[in-house]
Amino acid sequence: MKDRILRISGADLEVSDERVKALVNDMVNAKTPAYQKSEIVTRAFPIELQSAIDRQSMRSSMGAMEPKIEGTFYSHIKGSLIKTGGKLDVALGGDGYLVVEGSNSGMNNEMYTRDGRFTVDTQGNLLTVAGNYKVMGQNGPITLDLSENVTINPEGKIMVDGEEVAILRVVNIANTGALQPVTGSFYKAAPIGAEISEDANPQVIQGYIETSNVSVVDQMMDLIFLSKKYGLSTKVVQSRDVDLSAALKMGEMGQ
Amino acid sequence: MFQPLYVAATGLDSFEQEMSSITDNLANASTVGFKASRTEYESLDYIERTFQDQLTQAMAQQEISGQNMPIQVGTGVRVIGTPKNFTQGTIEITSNPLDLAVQGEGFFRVKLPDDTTAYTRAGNFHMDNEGNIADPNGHLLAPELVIPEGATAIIIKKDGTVWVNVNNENTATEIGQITIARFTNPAGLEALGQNLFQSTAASGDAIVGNPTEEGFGAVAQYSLEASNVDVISEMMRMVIVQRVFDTVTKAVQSYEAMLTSLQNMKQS
Repeated sequence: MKDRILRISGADLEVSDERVKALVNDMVNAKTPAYQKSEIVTRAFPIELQSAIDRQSMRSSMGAMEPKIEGTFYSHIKGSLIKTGGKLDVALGGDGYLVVEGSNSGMNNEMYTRDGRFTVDTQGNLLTVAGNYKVMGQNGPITLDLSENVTINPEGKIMVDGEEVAILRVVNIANTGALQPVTGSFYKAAPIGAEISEDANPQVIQGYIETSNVSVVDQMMDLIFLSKKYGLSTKVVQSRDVDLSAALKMGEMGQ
Repeated sequence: MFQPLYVAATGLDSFEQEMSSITDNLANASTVGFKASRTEYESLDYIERTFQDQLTQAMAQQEISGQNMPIQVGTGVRVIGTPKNFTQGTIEITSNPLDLAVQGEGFFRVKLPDDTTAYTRAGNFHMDNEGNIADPNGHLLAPELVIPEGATAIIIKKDGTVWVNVNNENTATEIGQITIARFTNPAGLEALGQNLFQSTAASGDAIVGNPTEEGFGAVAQYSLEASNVDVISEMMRMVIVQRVFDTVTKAVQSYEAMLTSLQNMKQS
């Protein structure tokens, strides 16, 4: 038996479940530098309506109004900056992304991040603290001697003892929707391709890091909303269940 | 199933680790030569949904928009490390001739009982009963330095040379040299406790040299380096961690309430 009300409520519970997963992940990453929060996108009503009309003309309208998950949206809003004073901590003042070398080899092996916490290994390679990916300069991976005085100027030039050793590569991504997350702060370009251009004015700020863009207030509001919505949907299922069993009993009495 | 609970657990676990690092920093706010540590977070990998989910979704989407947008859910957060912050602490003046501080890059070297070398920024040395210069725990300075009997004044210059006046003579004689060590990546040093550090593969081998030489700091006598813990910013961190911890706990409670309402959905 297909019951439309049960189906719609079931779909709603599923959507809420997916949302809670994203929400909790955002919450625990509220302190992860440069983490960008995610949002589960449900299909908008006009699209849903159109699809209902289309389906009506073809087959039964069963299940037309159930909410569906469309995908995940990542908010690329910038977090705020906090001062650390570390000489290998950088934040980006502009909208650009730092480029790092990804873990898989081959074509398109670049990843993008706004997490500018760097460290060096014993060979002097500049790596990201999170994930240990090689940081890319405009001429490939960067190596430097940390025991000297390291400064990074707003253009992204890395100076060791007054001598320029590399320039950080910072890119602008026009269609941020084409970024797929590897983790919450590292992204790779989706197969459809991102529109990447070099950032001529990256405004690199040494001694600062960017916080996550998760707002704890928003998270709490969403949480309240979600748990109420979840409660409502279960109530709908419950009362439908009662109705249906009443209907069945009616049949029994008729015998 | 129950994924949000596991994700929340990774968060609570990480915040607890940061809390203990903050407490450690605060407890050592007045330890000579102590370096504050910072907690580095990393968000865990995103997983895509199961193949079946994606297939149904792709089919449904093809029908309407022809677009494909994957659903990805994060799996939490973890602490990748608590590297020390080796910025200079403030120098405090004392009245002990064997209180030393390094101004700039460099660590004093001391010999551990197993003959390996450890490195420290804490220069509160003293003389043991044989005249050796040793740290408060009795580890001898490396290379060893013996103050001759009858020494009335000890002068340690910026470049690390040690001079003594014996029996109130007017002329000082040089009896040795204090060498210091620096590292390519000091954040990679392993903390041993007792203010001592050991070199690791991440820090690279020690580069030993004389103070005031290129790349090395200067030695200051009658001085101690205070800890570089900033109490105010540690307190701020503590407030933030506590708040985030509370929020995640609330999320766990809410999710539990949701599960309860799910269980109560079926009438008995």
